[in-house]
Amino acid sequence: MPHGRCKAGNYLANVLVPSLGVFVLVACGYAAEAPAQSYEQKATPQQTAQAVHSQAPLKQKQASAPSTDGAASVPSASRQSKASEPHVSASGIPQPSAASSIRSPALQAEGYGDKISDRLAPWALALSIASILLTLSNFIYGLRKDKRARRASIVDDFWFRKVVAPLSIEPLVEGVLDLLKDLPSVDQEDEIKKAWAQRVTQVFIASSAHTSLLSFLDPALPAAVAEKLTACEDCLTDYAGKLSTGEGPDPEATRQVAWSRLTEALELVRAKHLENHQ
Amino acid sequence: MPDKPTVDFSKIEGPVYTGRDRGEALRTKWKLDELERGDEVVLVVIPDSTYTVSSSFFLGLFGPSVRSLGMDKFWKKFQFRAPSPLMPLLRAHASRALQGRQLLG
Repeated sequence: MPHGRCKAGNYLANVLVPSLGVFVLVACGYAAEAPAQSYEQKATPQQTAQAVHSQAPLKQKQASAPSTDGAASVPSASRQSKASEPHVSASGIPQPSAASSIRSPALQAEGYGDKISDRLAPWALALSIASILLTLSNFIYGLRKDKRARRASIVDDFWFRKVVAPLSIEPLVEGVLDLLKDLPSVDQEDEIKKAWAQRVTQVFIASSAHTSLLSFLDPALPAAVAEKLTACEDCLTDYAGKLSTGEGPDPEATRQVAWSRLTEALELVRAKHLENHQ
Repeated sequence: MPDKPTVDFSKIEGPVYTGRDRGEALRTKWKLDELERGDEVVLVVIPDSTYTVSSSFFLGLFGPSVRSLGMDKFWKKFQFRAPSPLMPLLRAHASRALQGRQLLG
């Protein structure tokens, strides 16, 4: 999986989805605690008047009954207004008035009396469950990934860093660097040129034996690397041959070509190492 | 007494011998496949002026013979007369011809 997608997936699973689930839960909680009368206040003036008018016969009956406290002289309208005002109970706790608790049949038929939290509750529950499941799955995935990484570090990296690299790659690179450093010139003695040419062959004979260890990464890797190293060896050996004829080959061009072939061989190893860790 | 068949490096351009293609071309030119099948020993002469013989050239020229005859029979079939510093290199080249086959079993 590409690294960018892995990071986005982790962010989604660890941060975004749980946060969204918590947000929805909190929002539903606030909605559940909202007072019921706030929904009645959203009713239209006509609906409110209708609701009040439907209760008017009941108030008239109450007003016509004789009262012992002398309240009969009070106009019925004022009594109705008083009836709509909240009154305080004997315990001192204000109680909602009769009018405030009136719900018109029209409002009840349209379901405006239902709380929004009732509608959102199933969705919030589903989202919360989904976020919990996703978090759990991400936790399990993280455990498995850690186990895989531990295995890669202990087994694969150990063999590459402690065995393959020191025994096959490092001697090869050091040998070629020494050869390039000691590249003879055309005016040097034949014995020096001959000795250097034989050093070339010896270095690449040794590398051939060492690069067989690359089979730990891939059985086909030693042959592929050997092909690049053979080209490097031929480049340096040809340089030695041209020295003997006095042609005066270009040492810098030879260094560049030889180094390119060597880095191509190393790139094969690097690519295979990275591929094994994906 | 007929002369032994001879593979003489002094007849080709030196003092370094490189390139698999060049070795394969010389194998065809000197008909080493026929010499290998014959009963006679083949003399391989490498002049003292030789700087080195690269692995690619040796494998192109003698690789098939090493693989078909095996190490011991190869050295008995092809007798090398070469500068002493080069003999270990030539033996290492011959071992490399068998290296891939041994790894694969």
